[in-house]
Amino acid sequence: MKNLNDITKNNAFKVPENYFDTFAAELEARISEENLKKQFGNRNFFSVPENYFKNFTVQMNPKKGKIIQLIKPWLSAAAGIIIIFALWQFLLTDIINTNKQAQNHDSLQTNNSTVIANNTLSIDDIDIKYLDPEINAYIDEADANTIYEYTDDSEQETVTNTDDETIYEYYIDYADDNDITELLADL
Amino acid sequence: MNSAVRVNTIDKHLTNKELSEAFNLIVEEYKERLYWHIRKIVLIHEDADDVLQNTFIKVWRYLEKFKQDSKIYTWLFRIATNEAITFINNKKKKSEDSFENYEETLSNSLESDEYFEGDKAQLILQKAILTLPEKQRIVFNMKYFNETKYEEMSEILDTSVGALKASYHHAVKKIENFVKQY
Repeated sequence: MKNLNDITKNNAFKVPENYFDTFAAELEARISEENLKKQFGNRNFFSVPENYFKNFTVQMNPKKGKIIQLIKPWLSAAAGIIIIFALWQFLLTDIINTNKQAQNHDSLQTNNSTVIANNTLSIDDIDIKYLDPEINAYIDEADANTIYEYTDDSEQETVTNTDDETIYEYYIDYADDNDITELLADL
Repeated sequence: MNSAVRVNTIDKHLTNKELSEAFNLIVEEYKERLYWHIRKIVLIHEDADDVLQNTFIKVWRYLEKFKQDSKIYTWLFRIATNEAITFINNKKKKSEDSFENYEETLSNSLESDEYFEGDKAQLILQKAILTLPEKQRIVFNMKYFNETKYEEMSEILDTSVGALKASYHHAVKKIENFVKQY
């Protein structure tokens, strides 16, 4: 193609059949529509119940929605019951523990008073229920020296010779004034 | 009723403020000429139909305010041209939003348009016209296809005759350069 003259000027476009014959009627309809819009605007005169669109999805899924709707009140009630039960459990445990501690304290006081009154302390004076089962087993099997070893970590010493001289040396090394006074009174 | 009689009757109705009668005759007399003017700008029939209806709705709305100082023909074509430009600009904006080129999309859709029956050369010509700036495209279409007089075009487009002549000259040069490639 060299220039514009090579191209025909004929109208290359066409319109649908009867387009111009029906145009006036279509335009009239469009004008009526425009007049209505002008008169009433595009305002929506209708309203929907509150939260309608929010709940719409749930309503559209009846299976899921139904189950949720059914258990919804029970879920709240169950949550309330669980909270009350947990609180009650916590308070009850606390009360029981306090009582137990008080009882244990009384028991210890009684035992200690007995020991102090009799001035005797033997393995039988220790209430077995206050001891760890392992310690308990250990006590059953161990001799006096081993127990001494077990109960006094800071100043471990195995007593092998229990004659008076040894006891005397021990007192000199470890005993306080009261112990020495008591020992002298015994002598 | 022939065209000349119809135009005189329109003027009489407008003078007598018989707007409804005037409007019906205006639609009857100018629908085809306005359609082809619009169609050359927007190219697709559906778009041309939309723009033509919008044009007549504007005419209906403002007919009461029309002063008979200018010809009804000039006033109608000015409204139609402005409506077509507004339509194109809206389409361009939508195309830009979706990262498309409006002219390119239009050029492609023309090839598959059932209401376009031009040959290969005419399709190339339409593609060449699409490369022109908006105003040049309108000037070229009005002068080349409709052979509208520059004086009439000047009234419709509110541009001087000299500027229109220059615009048309540039448009022809650009189109010839484009079609030489094929």
